[in-house]
Amino acid sequence: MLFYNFSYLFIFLPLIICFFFSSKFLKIDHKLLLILFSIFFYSYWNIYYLPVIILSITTNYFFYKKITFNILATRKKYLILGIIFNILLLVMFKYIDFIIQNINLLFSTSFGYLNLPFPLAISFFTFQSIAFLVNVYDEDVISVKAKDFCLFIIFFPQLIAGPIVKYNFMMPQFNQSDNKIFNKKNFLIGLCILLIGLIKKVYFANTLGSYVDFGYVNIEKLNFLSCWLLSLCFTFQLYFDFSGYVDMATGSALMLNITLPQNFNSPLKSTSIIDFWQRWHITLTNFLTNFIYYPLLKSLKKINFFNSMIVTIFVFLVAGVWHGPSWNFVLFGLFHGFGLVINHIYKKYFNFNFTKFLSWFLTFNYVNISFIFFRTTKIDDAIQIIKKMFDPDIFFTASNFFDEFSLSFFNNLNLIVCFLLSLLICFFFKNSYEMLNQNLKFK
Amino acid sequence: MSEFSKWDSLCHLTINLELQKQFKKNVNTSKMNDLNSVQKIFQFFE
Repeated sequence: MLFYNFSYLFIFLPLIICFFFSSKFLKIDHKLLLILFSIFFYSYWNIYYLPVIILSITTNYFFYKKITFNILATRKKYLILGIIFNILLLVMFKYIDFIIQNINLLFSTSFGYLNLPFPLAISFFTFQSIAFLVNVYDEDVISVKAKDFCLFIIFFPQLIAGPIVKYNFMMPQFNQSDNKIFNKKNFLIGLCILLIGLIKKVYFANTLGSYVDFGYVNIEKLNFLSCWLLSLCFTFQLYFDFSGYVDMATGSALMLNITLPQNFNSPLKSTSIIDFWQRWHITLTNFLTNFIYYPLLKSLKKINFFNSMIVTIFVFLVAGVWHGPSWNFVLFGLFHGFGLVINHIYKKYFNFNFTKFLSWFLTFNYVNISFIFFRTTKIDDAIQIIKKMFDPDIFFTASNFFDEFSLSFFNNLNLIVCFLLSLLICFFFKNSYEMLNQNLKFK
Repeated sequence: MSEFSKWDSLCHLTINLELQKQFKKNVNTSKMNDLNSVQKIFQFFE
């Protein structure tokens, strides 16, 4: 089920709100209710994915038990086994065909593809489970009931597209008795955030998306101007799509008195790549920092600037691969990894400061170009678009400035309005959190 | 920490490791990011 579907907005959400707040009178356990509704929400898309998430929950709970009730040396063994299980699960369902494809290419073999279904949200619940096991090992999380863990993983607002949440952040909220009572203020603010997300997704992302789709199937016909238009439209589409979905998740959760962590903080206003990753998919950045970057760097013999930069590139390679099984995502990750290294070198060794506008301009264009790798399916296509965007001939052959694609953009009033509004909102407006911050109880 | 322009994740890790050595108290890497102000560090090691 998707947040912007009629069935979610007008049937599922009103039903869960009604049942949740009347659970006390109906004498139904509110956590069990949320679990059952979340299972329905997840299965609505495709019931065949359900066994995978159930397998993940039961196995991770088994590892939780083993880590908690064993001596230190054995606990570490179970933590490692737990992490390996989660990575294997992810590799099996998300990356196995990509690996087979590359083995076939590299060794001229012809292994058949497994064509396993790709369970929805597997990337999110796998990372969340790994974080949980590490927290259990670190003794930050103690005494977890099976029902609580199940709810933590499957809670429907954050299940599909994050944010990636921590057990200790979520569970006190589910346990708080006040949160079982209807809160008019939270409901209205939640509704506002849900509507903002809905507009971002349905109007902005979908309007820009239809144009972007048209452009990406006709790459060879595009020229300088249309390539720039295409890349900009996709950058805005991606932002509105993802942040809109997270807004709808946050709004839905808040209507149930549950606060989710902020995942986007006007990322397209960033003035450096470091700044960008502190504003874009914030919970993923925190996960990568806490669970990959710090442990890896700490495990090295020498902790110095050079090693930290190597680890940064590796972490962003992982981040790229996490986004999808394709070399384009690998390049996307590496592109940002190197961007961060350049940014850190500049920060450490150069004392002069760019103006804020120039910093933003360089950052935005770097991010905009990186997103081309995100959208194209082949690396050649991405390179073709980037080449056209920086084609010096365009300044000498003005006759080819407008092509069919750019003309279709300028002939579509709705698209122009949507594009200009996107510019205004992304660069000049406060984000939904800033606007509602005074009233929200975000932690 | 973000108020210092030169502050970065490497500085954060270095100061955390140094404090762990000085106070003989372990900070889990998963918790390190939470110690993002002098006040929080002070409270943790107190």
